[in-house]
Amino acid sequence: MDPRPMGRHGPRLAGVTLALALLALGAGSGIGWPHAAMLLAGLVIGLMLHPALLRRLRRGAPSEGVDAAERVTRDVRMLRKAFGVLQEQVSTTIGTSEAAVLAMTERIARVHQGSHGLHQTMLEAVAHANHVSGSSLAQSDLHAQALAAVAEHLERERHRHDGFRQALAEISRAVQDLQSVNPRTQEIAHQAHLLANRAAIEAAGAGPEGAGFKGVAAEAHRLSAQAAEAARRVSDGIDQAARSLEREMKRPERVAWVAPSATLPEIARHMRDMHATLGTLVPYLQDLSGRMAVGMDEVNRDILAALGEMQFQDINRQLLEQLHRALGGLSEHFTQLYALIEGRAPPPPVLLEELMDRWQDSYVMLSQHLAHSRAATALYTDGQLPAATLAAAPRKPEAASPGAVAGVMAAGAAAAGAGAAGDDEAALTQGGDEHAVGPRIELF
Amino acid sequence: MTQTKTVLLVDDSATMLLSVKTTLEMSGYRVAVASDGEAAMTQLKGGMKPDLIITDINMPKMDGLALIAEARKLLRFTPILALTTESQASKREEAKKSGATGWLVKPVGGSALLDVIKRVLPGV
Repeated sequence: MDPRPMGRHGPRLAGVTLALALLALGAGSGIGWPHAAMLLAGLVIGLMLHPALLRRLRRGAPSEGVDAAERVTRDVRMLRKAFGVLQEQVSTTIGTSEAAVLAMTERIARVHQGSHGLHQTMLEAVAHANHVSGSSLAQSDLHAQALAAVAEHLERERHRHDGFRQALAEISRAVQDLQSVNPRTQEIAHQAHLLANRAAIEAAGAGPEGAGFKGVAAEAHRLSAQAAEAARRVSDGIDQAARSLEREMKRPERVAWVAPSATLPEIARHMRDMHATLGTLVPYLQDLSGRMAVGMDEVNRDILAALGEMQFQDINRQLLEQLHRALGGLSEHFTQLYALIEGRAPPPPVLLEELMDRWQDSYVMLSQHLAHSRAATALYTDGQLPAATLAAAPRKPEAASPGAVAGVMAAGAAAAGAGAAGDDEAALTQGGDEHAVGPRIELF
Repeated sequence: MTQTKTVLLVDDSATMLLSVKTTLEMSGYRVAVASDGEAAMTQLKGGMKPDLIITDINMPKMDGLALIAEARKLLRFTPILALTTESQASKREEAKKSGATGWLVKPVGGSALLDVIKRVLPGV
């Protein structure tokens, strides 16, 4: 074996390679697909490095291999941290998705319940409306029957009234005919009076022989006076009757509103029933309107909240884009490292540690910084992968709430106070990072 | 709302556009959308006069900060809200200096967003 420095580092590199595979195995111990992804990545990189290292150990390394070996060693050591960071970022993304989907599912279930409730309310309203309209229709039918009876009765009364007026007109005409007879009667009485006067004169001229004739003349005179008086009274009566008939005939036509005695109370009762129905219908409709408004308001609120929770997709997109960039950078870095080990290329322009600093520079979300900080802190403090602190998000369905997504995005610190994320915040502050937990909504 | 207000919504995420547009339209707003700052400026230079602009910050072509600065030159009094995942304090400050009216961190619930809009839009 070549005694050059690369040779000294060879066993260590081999050991690190093995540790890398073990690390990946440890991280992948049966939790979920992110760990499986870590395992796969660890194995691939381990396999990629291992044969190359063995070859280098067998045939020795170039003189610049001292730096190269140290560089590889540092990067491989840092790789553990890099995977930890990526694992935290993946877990954050998963947590965000899970919390958002759970919250949205809960919202959708509430919308379904709200819609179902509104549907039930509408069914009740329709049933009530059917009942009311059925009752109203029946009452209207009764009203129609009663009014038809009234109309028929009025028609009969009108017909009878017309007959009465016609009879009055005929009587009036007959009375008027009688008036034309009256002057003749008076004339006859007058002539009888003149005749009685002449008979009395003739009886006086006849002397004692005319005494009997004189008595007859006096009687005739008395009768003619009575006839004249009777004619005058008849004339007055006819005249009075004619004027009364004329007045009656000139009166405006009137209809006797004499409905059948049973009809009007029946109609009145129906009207009272209608009034009572309307009296209950108005408050019912007011209550229905209020309940519908409340139900619609709740459904609208849930829909708006669900729409807000849809924004997790944009957040996750950015998280995944950053992960994609980080993995791409990592792949490129280790390709360069591989070329270095084979002596085909100079060392990568940056150490893995610097590459990870660049990751941090590219973060836009506080949750990314917090995830990075969690991984780094866990690694630096107990040397373990932060498997137990993978997700800042609630993982159980019952832990999901409408605010869960916001809570995840703020990594618990902004939304839920300074509880579990307090250390993360402290780590950020110590690092002098300008990403701070600011207000989620701020008007300037 | 006495008069329909127009909101110009700018985001490169189709999901965000759908989410916020639907939220606003459900509440009676008219919504125009643009997928980046450049597209938004094209609309504004074309004579569009929205009552409110809501913009993401991290976008391709022209980012939200540049859009805020450019839009403010055209629309002196129109409220502009940043709706973003960005947590960097310096960007928040830059937005404020460029003339943004407010800063909202995603995700923002529909009711909260509507409340903010009512606060910044006169006559709503």
